[in-house]
Amino acid sequence: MKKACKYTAAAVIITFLVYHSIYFENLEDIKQQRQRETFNAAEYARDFWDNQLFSVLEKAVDVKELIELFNTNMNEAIRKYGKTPGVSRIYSYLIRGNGKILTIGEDFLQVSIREPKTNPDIKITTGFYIPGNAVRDASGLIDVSEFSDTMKFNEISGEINKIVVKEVIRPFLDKKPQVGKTIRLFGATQVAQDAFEVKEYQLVEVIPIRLELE
Amino acid sequence: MLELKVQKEILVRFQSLLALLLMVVIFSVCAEGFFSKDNFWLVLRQVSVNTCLSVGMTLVILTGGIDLSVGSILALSGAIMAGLFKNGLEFPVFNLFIGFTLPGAVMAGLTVGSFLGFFNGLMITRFKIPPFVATLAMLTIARGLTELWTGGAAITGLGKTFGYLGTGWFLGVPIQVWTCAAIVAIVLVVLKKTRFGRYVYAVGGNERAAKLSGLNVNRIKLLVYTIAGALAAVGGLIVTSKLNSATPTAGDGYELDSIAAVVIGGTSLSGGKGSVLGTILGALIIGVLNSGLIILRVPPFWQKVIKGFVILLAVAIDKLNTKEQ
Repeated sequence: MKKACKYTAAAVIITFLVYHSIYFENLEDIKQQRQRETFNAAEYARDFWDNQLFSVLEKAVDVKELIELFNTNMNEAIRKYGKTPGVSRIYSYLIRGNGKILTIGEDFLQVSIREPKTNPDIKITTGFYIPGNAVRDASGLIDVSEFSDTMKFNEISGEINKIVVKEVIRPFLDKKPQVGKTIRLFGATQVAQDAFEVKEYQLVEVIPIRLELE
Repeated sequence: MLELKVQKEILVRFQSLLALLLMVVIFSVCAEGFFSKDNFWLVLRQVSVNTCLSVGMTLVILTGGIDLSVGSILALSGAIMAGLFKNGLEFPVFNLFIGFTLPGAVMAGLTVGSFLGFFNGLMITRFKIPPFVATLAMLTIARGLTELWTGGAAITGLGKTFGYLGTGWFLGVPIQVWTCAAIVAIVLVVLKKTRFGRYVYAVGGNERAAKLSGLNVNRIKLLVYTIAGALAAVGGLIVTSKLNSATPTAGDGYELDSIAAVVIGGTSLSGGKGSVLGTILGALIIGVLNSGLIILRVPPFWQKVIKGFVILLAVAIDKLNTKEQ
């Protein structure tokens, strides 16, 4: 009798656990549902650029302030403004500022931000191929855990970078920027935690999000 | 003279704790940022997985065995949880899809871990395969199964709920530290206050004597290896949740860290002597050492060399003490 009670209790518990652990579906339905949910990185990036990114640009930090922090208190810079999608030594920052163009290279502009504006502080990418994830990560809007694999997460960056080239860099270069001109910019940068401990480190590399000639 | 003896006894008894305190003091002085609240939690979070494995390993070593497969069991259990939760099971012949809820996937992973541990125990007790060989074989089997299950690629995108266990906080303490503390508390009580606990020590102390006094040694060993497998699966849950992904290489080399924690904690490799508290101290020593060396920017290769010497030193001190006694 005692044994029967034991087995009955065990059976009830197991049934309860199994009932709350699994569910059954029609395989064809699941396959169709998955097909509908097929990821389109270009569409995702378009929506990110048009509807999400510009709302966080107002939170961009003044690049002058950020460079000062990099040089004096990197931990504070990371704590206040740095973003990273996972555990990493490299942090991304959304920046804004004005500066004077000092050099125009084949795929970059060297710009001076800090007075007396004779030495370059940042290097803005103006090439037609942009690697990396600076814009995606600096925005802090896209959560890696929402994606089923890291390839999709990286595809988004590729598409965002294409938009940067097409809608920011090309139109800006069409305006024929010249040395000595002042530009206003919003952009994204990625800096390693210990980058400023290296003596020869000088320029903060920036992927532009908005570039305007004044 | 007596006082000196008492002092020595205290030193021997608390040698792991003293070593830990000494390391904390040294790193606090030498490594900027080591003695901080952030680093305190970071060390505890890093140590929690190794503690799960090491507690299971302590039980195994107390019975005079060894388990080299815990790292691979961790990987397979984590992959099973992630795979079932994300992809479910497909049966095209029946046009059937079985999906798993989060508790369902976790239970499945824990069951797999326990079963693999049980299988280890079975090989050791029924077929008399030496623990080193049986668990070495399981190390390869479980790693291979993990690669088969994952297709060699990481299973990612498990969602925020899954990640909560590895990254969330409860009452100001990381969830994984709570999990680990609960496991330690349960095993401590089991070892100190139950017959099973005493049997574990008895089997490790003198297996023949334990057998002659009527203990079912095989059953105890079977249970111990099953528990070790289950705890490795808990480690798998923490790792998978923390990374929000299951990788086929997860837990690679973790078995050595867990054995190191047990040995540094004063548990005798020949069995019958040791404690879970000692193992916790051992795991903390390894965690503090890792953290301090990273903050001091000691190159990774040198970190391994230093860790190796610390293990040697711990065993050498233990041997000297045993000899004197």
